[in-house]
Amino acid sequence: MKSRRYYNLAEAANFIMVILIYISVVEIWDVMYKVPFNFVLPAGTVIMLLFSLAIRMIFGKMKSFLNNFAVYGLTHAFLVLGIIFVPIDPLQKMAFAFVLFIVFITNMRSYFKAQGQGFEYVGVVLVLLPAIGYLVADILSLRTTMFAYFVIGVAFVMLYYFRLFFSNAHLLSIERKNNEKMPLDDMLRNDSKLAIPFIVMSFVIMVVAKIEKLDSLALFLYDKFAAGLRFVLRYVLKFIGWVFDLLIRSDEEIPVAIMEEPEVTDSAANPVFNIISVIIFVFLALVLLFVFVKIMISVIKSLSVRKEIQTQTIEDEGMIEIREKIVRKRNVKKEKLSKIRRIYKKAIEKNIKKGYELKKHHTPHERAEDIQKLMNEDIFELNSLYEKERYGQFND
Amino acid sequence: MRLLLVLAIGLILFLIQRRVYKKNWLKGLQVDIDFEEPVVREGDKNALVEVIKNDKALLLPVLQLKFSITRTFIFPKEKNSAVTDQYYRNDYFTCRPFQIITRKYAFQASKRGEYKITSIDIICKDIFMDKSNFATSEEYSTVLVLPARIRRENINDDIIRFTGDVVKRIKINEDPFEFSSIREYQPYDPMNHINWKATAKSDLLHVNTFNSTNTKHVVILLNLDMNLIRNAEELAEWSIKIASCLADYFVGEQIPTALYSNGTDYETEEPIGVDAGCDDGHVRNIDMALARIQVKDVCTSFVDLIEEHIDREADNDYILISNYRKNDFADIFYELKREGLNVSLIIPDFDYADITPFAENGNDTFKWVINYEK
Repeated sequence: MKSRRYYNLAEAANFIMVILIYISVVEIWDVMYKVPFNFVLPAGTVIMLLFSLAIRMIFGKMKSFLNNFAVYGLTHAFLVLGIIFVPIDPLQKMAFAFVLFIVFITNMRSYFKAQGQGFEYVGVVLVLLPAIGYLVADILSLRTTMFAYFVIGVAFVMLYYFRLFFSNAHLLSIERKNNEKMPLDDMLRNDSKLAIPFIVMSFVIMVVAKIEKLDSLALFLYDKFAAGLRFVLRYVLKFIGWVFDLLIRSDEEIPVAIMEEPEVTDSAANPVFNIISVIIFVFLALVLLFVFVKIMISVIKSLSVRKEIQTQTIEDEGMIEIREKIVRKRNVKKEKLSKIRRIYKKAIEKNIKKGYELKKHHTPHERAEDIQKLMNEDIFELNSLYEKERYGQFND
Repeated sequence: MRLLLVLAIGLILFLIQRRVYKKNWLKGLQVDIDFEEPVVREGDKNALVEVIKNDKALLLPVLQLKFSITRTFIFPKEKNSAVTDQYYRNDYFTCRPFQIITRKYAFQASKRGEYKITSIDIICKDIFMDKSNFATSEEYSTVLVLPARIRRENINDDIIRFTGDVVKRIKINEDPFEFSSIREYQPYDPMNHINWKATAKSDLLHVNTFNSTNTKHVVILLNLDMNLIRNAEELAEWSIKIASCLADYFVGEQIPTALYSNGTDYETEEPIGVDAGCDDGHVRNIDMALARIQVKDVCTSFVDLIEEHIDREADNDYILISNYRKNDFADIFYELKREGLNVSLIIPDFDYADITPFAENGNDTFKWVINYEK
């Protein structure tokens, strides 16, 4: 992917973050003046931002004398006129004026720094704006506004991750222009395999953390599961009863009419049933966990090298690259040998505990003879294996 | 407050991944930069070998190596490097878990010398490529570039005749006890040199050849003090090449050859000197000494060097290689000639240069013509 595309993606993420920030500001205004939630202010804010984006793009490409600080500032007068003549409530006009003020200040700052050539990246600290809004809405018990702030906050964090990834990919791709041998595509492909699961995982954790009654949710899920199990069990028992009746009473007249439903005892009251359903519930949870772990392992495996050796040669540039996998072969023979030594060591230690005094000047064979003489224990077979392993080649 | 907790989780996860990379990126990571051949000759090709070993389960998405080497190494493309006083390389890798990456960059060694890579800066970035982690590896990879061999077409016929005369003068008589080799019979070979066993085996007449036993040595005295400052470095390099070439020739002829110079070793700063010898590794020793010589630092005057190394009692052949030809040197040269010593002088200089007070192709003085390239 070209560096310009990474830049555009980073800018797009940044732009959405800017919009989220402005919407947060508008919502704070709404909450402060107890205006019920409506889409006039957010929609107006988006229009204002699109206007400021347009003038930024025009000034970014403009090379005439008009591209200066004063003219750039004066173009915001169109927005002022728009707010004056738009037919909305005066309170909302005031809110728009407040947003315009912030848009103007940030636009001028951005122009001052980059002369209209690019965006000013918004900092992650600004996530505090929706957080404060959420807090105020919580105090005023505005459930819809709280939900809106929650979505804005989480989206802001996700977009921050994406923007970080794309902006750094852009910087790397610029670097690549000076370093043709840099494996940029490989880097970003591998990196995205880590970054995307990370972002998804962050999102899931953040959403789960938002669920206020996790324990009641678990109980709810368990109740539903147990009810389903009861339902299935009842019909299974009914079917078995019907088959049993069919076989036992085969000589008798088979009732044509539908059998009366046998009285089923309330399985919920049955403690055995409860134990069985808990076991099945835990088993299913473990299976799900196992599947999740398997998926994670497959992701990690996809990151590791599949082939043992990959060779890439760029002859024109006089470079050869060889990629190898580090393979650790289990040394079965060594493990077998060390097992014999362990057993021998244990046998000697057992005799020492019984009172045998170890003589360091003894050879293993002398030690075996000594143990037989003093402790009356035959370790000659073990000793011969030990000697082969310790002092010679072990051949089966 | 729940939203604050949620946002804090997002931030904490981000910091955790950053922390994981900061703490673990260096574990199991091994970076080696070396040269394929530790010793090469000037003008030959060699390769720079970078080996990255990532022996852990953590992916290193962006791994950067920065190091500097001499700019005299010519790489095919120079885009991923900056050449100023040094050649600054900047190589990128993406290293998967449990992977070894080996990269070889071919280059041409264009100048004699000993070159080192003293340190490598390793930079690794985290998942979002945001935070850079740094480490420095103190690595000492060395390559020795020996002086180039001079081509036959660049050697004056008078010089070839002169060196042949030196060999003849030293190797007058063969020693029947110094067996050298067996070769096919030539019409000028005496009958008593025929090796009958080898002849019977091959059905062709074969003769034994013998080395000569002699106490005569060739002593090459190399002066790195130039006559003029202009092009001094280039002339000094040519003087070194000539010394290397002559040493190779004489040692090839089994003549014990010594080399002394007033140039100093770039590390020890001691004057260069290799005593007489003609074994298999002797030329390599001389070349290695010449490779390490620094041309800009001359420890003593050439006259003093001559006084130090000329043994008036011994019947050695002395070959002086000197572009410097001022009166003090001319005086001592002619004085040695008057004393009856076998002293010859080779003056390396450009084709347009005049080598007065010496004759261009006299009996004992020669001009080694170097083609001037602007």
